[in-house]
Amino acid sequence: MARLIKHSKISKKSVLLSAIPVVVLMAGCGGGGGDSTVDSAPTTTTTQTVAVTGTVPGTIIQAYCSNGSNPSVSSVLNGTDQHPFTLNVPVSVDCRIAMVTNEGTVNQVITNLTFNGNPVINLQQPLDLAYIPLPMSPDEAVDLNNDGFADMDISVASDSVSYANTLNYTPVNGRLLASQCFQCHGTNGRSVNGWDSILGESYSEILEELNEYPVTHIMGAQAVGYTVAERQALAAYLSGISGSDSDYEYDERDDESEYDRDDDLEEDDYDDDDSYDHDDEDDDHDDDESDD
Amino acid sequence: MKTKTLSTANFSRRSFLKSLGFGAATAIGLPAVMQNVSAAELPHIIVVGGGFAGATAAKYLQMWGGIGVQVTLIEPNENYVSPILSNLVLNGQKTIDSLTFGYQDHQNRGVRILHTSVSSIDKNNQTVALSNGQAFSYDRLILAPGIEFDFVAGHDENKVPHAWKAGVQTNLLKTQLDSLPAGGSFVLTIPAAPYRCPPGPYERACVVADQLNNVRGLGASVTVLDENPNFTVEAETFAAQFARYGIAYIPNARVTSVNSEAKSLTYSVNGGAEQMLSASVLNVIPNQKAGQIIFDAGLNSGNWAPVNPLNYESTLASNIYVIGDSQGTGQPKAGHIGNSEAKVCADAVLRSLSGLAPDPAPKTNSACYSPVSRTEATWLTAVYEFNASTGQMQLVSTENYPYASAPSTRNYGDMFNWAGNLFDDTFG
Repeated sequence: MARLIKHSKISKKSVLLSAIPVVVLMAGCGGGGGDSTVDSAPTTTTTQTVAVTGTVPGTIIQAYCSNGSNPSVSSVLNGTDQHPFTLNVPVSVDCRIAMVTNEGTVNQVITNLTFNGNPVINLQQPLDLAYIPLPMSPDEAVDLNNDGFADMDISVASDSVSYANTLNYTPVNGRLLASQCFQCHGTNGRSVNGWDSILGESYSEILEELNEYPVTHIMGAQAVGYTVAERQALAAYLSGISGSDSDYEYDERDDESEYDRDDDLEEDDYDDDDSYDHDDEDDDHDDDESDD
Repeated sequence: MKTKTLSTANFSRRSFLKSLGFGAATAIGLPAVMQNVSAAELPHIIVVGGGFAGATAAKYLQMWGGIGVQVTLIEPNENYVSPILSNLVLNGQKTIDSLTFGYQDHQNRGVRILHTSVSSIDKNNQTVALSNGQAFSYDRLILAPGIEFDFVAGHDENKVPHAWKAGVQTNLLKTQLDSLPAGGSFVLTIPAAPYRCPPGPYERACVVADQLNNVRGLGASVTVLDENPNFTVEAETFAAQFARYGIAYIPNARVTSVNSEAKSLTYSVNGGAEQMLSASVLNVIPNQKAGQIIFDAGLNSGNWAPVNPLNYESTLASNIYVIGDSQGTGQPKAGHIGNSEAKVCADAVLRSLSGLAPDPAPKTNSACYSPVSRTEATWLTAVYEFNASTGQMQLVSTENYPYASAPSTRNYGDMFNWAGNLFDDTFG
């Protein structure tokens, strides 16, 4: 899957490849991901978010948050050199923010922001970063510490940023069980391909899906491994995840014709729709479709 | 939880880099986000090995531990090539590039990546020495070194590939198969269980047979020497596929020597007299054991590392954990369950750093889709639970692994969705 190739060496080829997954990964957010329409946002909003706004040169803005969410957004091309963006991050959660300029070109630059020297932002109220003059090519990047990432330090009001350099780990009920769903359904339930995202599904929907497949189906064969209480716990956790992909906005840079998601799969005969076909009780996934 | 004081404990990152001899031209990609975090004040977790288990552990430690931990991933290679789907390189359905992953997202999450290797582990002082002589202290050390091979007399993997670690080896086998002549022969050997990816060798035999004879029309013979007494998984499915392709299957066959120049081998069935077999293309997958670092650190019992499956901590050393193919819990050795074990381990490690006991009832899962042709695949899956009375992981069901009743094109498509999300959950 070309979209998942990630190279860290800065060669022309590898930079091109490495950027493709960033774009297409986000194109797959929010559900099926296989169509070219804008996905609707997940309906679950139990975690409040707060907006980080600003303007940048053409950029993807991503956050990596300690609650496991990974909100991302593309800036909006508006005919100027300063493209506005709004990235919604979870309230009172530690997040790192990274920006990628010229994604998919030899001039791609990744910039991790720091805030008053801190790598982590923890917001209780909206934050306007104003214009961020990100480097647009490796030649422009200031990299005093030679770590391969552009240096950047953003000053923000101190009352909006907190930072605690301590570990206070609180296990979350259902999270470890739920994380074992992510191998097939994506981190935090966000699928990056044609399989269903769990993210955004309700508690009852998740429970229903865990219950409806026979053990001859791979989903049913997994589901029988979990007790009723375990199913309820993981469904409660999964239905409470939000902030992961509700912020994505499409623009012309994300045209799938430019980054063919499945160019090397050669699976023309494969039905890329929902693999589980909830409404088709006669659908036996194990039937012999051999054509030889 | 303080990192132990060492000569390196209070290094500035810059000076540490300099001491390692890294200049601007060889920037190793430590993320800028780390530059203001004092490594000496955070609990430091070192993960060794960036495959499915190690990469997942590093990702989830940082994701769940947040800013409260420093995670360092030590992996010699800048990229990882997935063995999963790599049999599709042999028939041209995939390329190595399309199965290659880096650690950029790990860096963005704040994981420190060191592309170097560990030369030794000091279990008492909780330090690891790197191959350049520098040392790191750790509060917790997670080892995910994968597998090593038992040597077979005469076996030169540069001439007779195993292709069981993907990348150069996969391409070498593909090149040899591409020049296999009409009427030629392909011989594949299967190691004794446990080995990495139980269905993988059977999958390979089917994919190659399909490619050689149904696509290229070579009329080639395919022979499989299996050291095990029967197909180790999906027996009915693979037996039917072998019959379909006319693959000769010889169980209980132990390889005793290889002539890498002549592409021949000797083998013994059930300890009987040695027999010789020659091939146009010979693919020897040797018997397997834990990564070398497990033996070097004295963490093995036999060929594998004994661990407590509640947290994957070694039963032979405290604060050292072993996940993935090297662990010896009896769970299968494969990428999907390596990812699964890593999450249990990451959660338990983070709990322990906060003084909490591990989850008393962890579950892991295993799944694998296997192509058996250029259009069809099969699957198997399993869920494991902790048995408090035995202290071991066991199948939730006492039945065998559930698996697909027959290969299908539907499964073939699902295989890419499964792998794509697994790749992203591990490396994304």
